[in-house]
Order: sequence, then C-alpha cells, then structure tokens
Amino acid sequence: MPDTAVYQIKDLSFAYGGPPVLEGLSLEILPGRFYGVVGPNGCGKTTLLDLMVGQRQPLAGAISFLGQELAAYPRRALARSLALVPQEMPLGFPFTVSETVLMGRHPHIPRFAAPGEADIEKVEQALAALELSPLRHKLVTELSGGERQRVVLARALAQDTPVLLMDEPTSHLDINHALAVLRVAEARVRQGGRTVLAVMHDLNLAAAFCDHLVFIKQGRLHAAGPTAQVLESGSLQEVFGVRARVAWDDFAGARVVVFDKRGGAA
Amino acid sequence: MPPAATHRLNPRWLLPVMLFMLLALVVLASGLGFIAVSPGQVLRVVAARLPGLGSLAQGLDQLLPHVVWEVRLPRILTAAVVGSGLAMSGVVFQGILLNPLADPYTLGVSSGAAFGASLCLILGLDFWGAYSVCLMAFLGAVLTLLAVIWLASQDGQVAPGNLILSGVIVAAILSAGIGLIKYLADEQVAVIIFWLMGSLVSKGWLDFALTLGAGLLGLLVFLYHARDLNLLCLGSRAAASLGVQTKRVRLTLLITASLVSAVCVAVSGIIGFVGLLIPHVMRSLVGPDHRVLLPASALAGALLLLGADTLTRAVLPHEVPIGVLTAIIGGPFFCYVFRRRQMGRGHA
Repeated sequence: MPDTAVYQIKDLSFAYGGPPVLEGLSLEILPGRFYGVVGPNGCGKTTLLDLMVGQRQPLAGAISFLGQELAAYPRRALARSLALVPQEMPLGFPFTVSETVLMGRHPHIPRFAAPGEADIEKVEQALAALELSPLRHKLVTELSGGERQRVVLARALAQDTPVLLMDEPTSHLDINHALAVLRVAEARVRQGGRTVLAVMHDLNLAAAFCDHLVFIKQGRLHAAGPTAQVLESGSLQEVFGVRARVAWDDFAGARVVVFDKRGGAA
Repeated sequence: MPPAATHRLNPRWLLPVMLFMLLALVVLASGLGFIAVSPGQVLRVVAARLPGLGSLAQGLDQLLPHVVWEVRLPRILTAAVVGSGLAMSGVVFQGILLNPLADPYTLGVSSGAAFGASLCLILGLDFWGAYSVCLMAFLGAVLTLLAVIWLASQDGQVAPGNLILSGVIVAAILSAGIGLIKYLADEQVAVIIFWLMGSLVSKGWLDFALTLGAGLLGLLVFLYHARDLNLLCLGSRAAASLGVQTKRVRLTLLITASLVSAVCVAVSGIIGFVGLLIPHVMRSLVGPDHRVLLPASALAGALLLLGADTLTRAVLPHEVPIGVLTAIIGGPFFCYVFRRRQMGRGHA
C-alpha cells in the first residue's frame, strides 16, 4: 500500500543547546485537510515548523515528507512541493509587490531564465486572490503591516505547492482580511486537494477553518484530532490554563470559544 | 517580465550610457595633469600598443606614451576597478546582512587590512618589495574576516545581526592596535598615516591586474548568485523555503565580497563611503534587483572613484588623499540620504 501521508513525524526532539524545545513529538498529516497548530507562546510551534521545512535538523526522531526522508530532498525540489509563510518578513529593500510575489516562482524558473507565461499567470492569480492587484506597483517598503503579510502569503500561493505551512498568517490582519486570507487557504484545500497547516493564535478562527487541530504544550503533543473532538473546554484548560466554554454556533457556522476573563483559577 | 515601476531608470539604456561615460572619463582623465594631452593623442597612444598599429605613435612627443601608458593609465584604471570592487561588495554585504548600513568597514575587513599594513610598515617587512604592504593588508583583512565569522556563528549558522556586532568589536580592538603601532612608530608614523588615508598615487599595471582579477571573479560570483541574493533579502527562512541553499550561498557571497574588498583596500588603502553610498544611490535609481543593481553599482563606483581621483590628482592645487576626499564628499551626502529616508519613513 502506498504511503499517503503528507508528513510522518516520529519521536521528534529538538533543543537549542539547552533544555528540549520539542520532545518525543509524533504526528501524521494527511493530504487534503486544513490543520491548525495551537498552543501557548514559546511551546515550540515555530520550531516545529522550522523542522518541518528542513530549516533546522532534529536532534532525534524522523520526519518523512510525501513518503521520503525530508533531509534527503534537494532544496529546490522541496520548494516545488512545500511553501512556507514565515512569521517574520523583513521586506527592507524596495522591491515592488509584483516583484516580491514573482519570487515565489523561483524554484520553478531555471537560474538564468526569464519568467514564462505560466509564471506570470500564477503571480496574477495570487495577487487577485489576496486583493493585491491594485497595489502591484507599490514598493513593499511603503506598505502597512497587513498589506505586507498579504504579500508574503501571495508569494507562497504563487509558489503553487501541494503543501503550504503558515506561521500565524493573520497576526497583522484585521478581521475582514483575516477571514479572506483563511478562505483563500481553505479553497486551496477544498477545491485543490492541497494540504495546509497553520500555526494559529485565534482559537475561533482555528475552529472555523481547521479540520484538525494539534495542541502543543511545552514541546509535547498534548492532543491531535478532528476539531470537533479535540476543541473542548478540558483541553483548553489543560493547554492554556484558561476557563473556556466551547459550543456550536449557527451564525458562525462553526464551534466558538468564549473565555472566562477572570483567568484559569476555577 | 513584470512591468517596471515607473520611477526606476531603465537599465537597458542606463548601463550602456554609464559604460560610455566611464570610457570617456578614462580618456579624459588620461589627458589631464601637469602635462596636458588631448583625447585624440590619448587614443593614439593606446591604439599604438595594439599589434600592427605601432606606427600611430610616430609623430607624437616622445614623452606622451610614457606619461599616458606608464604613469596615468594604470592609476586611472586601478581607481576605476577599486571603485567598482568597493561598490559591488557594499551591495552584497547589504544584501546578505539585510542591513543597508553594512559595508567593508562594518565587518572589520578594512580595519584588518589597515592593521596588517601598519604592522608591515613598522616592522619594515620587505619580503615582496613594494607589494609586502599589500600582501600584509590582504592577510589582515582575511584573518579578520575569519575571526568575525567565527565570533558570529552559532551551530554552523552565521546570524546577520551578530556579524555586524562582531565586526564592530573586532574593528575596535584593531583600531587600538593601530593606535599603538602609530604611537611606537617614530619616523614611519607619517608613512602609516598616509597609507591609512588611502591613495592611488603611483599605482602600476600589477596593481591593476590584481584588482581587476579580484573584481572580475567577484562580478561573476555575484551575478551567478544575483537571484539568490534577491531572495535572501526576504529573510533566511523565506529564502530557504524558496529553494535557496541559504547557508552555502551566504558564506560564498560573504567570502567573495570580503576578498574583493580586501584586495581593493590592500592596493589603495582605506577609501571610505564608496561601498556605502553607491549601493544606496543606485538602489533608488534602478531598484533593488541585484541582477541590475550589481552591474549598475560597479559602473557607478568606477565613475565616482575615478572622478574623485582625477579631481585630487589633476584639478586641485594640492593632492588630497583620496580616502579623505571621498569621506568629505560622501559623508555629508550620506547624512542627507539617510535623513531623507528617516523623514520618508515618518510620513509613511
């Protein structure tokens, strides 16, 4: 039987030379789903993404990506299958919006070749999907934080990969744009059969868009499974230390989370 | 191709125009000086060096070929190539360090070269004739760079922010060392100070060949990696996820840029602001795409340094050290550019 998992992560551990940041984490990511990774600040979410894109090497454990050892992929080949929306985005040099998005085509264009028709089309689609077309000639150094974040996303969309990882893709966006961005990602999953995994802070957005949630606490996997099963007050209490109530909401069309503002002590 | 932003100059005509201006300036500068030579005579002297055209020099003053070919041209061409080298390495340092203030100085490369040269001058080392200072300066630059990289690296990764901090620390230590050497130097102190101020006086064909070799090697390596460099401007996570071998590319570019600037500093002494100013100005004129920015900066650096050297050599009543001149012209201009950037950011 062919190995259908996008990711198979086994007993993953990592440390930055001190105490472990991730410990014994095992996870399977299946194709065609929207995954959300949630957990408190500093629990190792970004480190997990770094390991999943090969930016850092695990201390112990194994990561296989599309049935092959992740470390065995040549960089460019990996970049044709896997896109990343990183959290930080130093857009310090005055490239235009369309130039920046075109950089997403880098792994598809030979070193000394000019971008072709197909490349330009992917860029146009990505710009349109994130409502950036009117800004195409603006310099990225002159954009607002939210606009920059959408440019970084558009670049990853233009990369046109079956798998997309995002590190807090909506942290700088107002609610309108946050919903729009997540709808774009969702459409890629629903219509394109692609796989998206996003580190998210807003639990209500996670609940609304993610099929599966992965809870991480202090470098360990706390729970993982379909959103309807794992998103409940017990796990929120255990992972975040807050009192919360989770219920289906017809208006939202999703489960919604409300919190007790007085904190975790019951 | 994506439509170019309207406020940028089109490299299709800008680069040829700059190249033409450079050639014209070389010819013009060869004629300027104590003995005036017309551009036509300069071209005849140069053409006469070509096989079969030796007869062109007939009828010219016997002195002219010597003045143009042996004295002025090597210095003029060296000035142009050193200007290119400093400007290109400035572009590359700024790109890989994501810091528009990075240049050979920020990384300690220049201080290392200065320390090596000072050491050579005070110890009177003379193992390679006039080129001993040059060689020691080069060694100083390379050793300093290795020390800075070693200081800045953690688990095999060089962090851009650390690199600048390490460069500043090492440069501070080396400056103290240079100060001590100057204090101990007695009679040679004038020679050391003169070297430190930078000069292209009495550069010969060997100097030109050395810098040209380093400059061409640099240009090839930089242009080969120009697109990777564009991506590195997005941060190393983003660049890596787009298929760039960030660690290898950054190290290759860092070492090449340091070699180029080390050779330049070794030949000409400390010439400031070219590596800082030119990338800034050219980025605002042609945009940040390194495939265009690198050749444009190379040409602009050559124009600037050759212009400044001609000014001090042939126009000013007394020869001012070129490093002092570039700092006097470049410093205030840079303050202006920097200030305008800050203001622009305030409004945004």
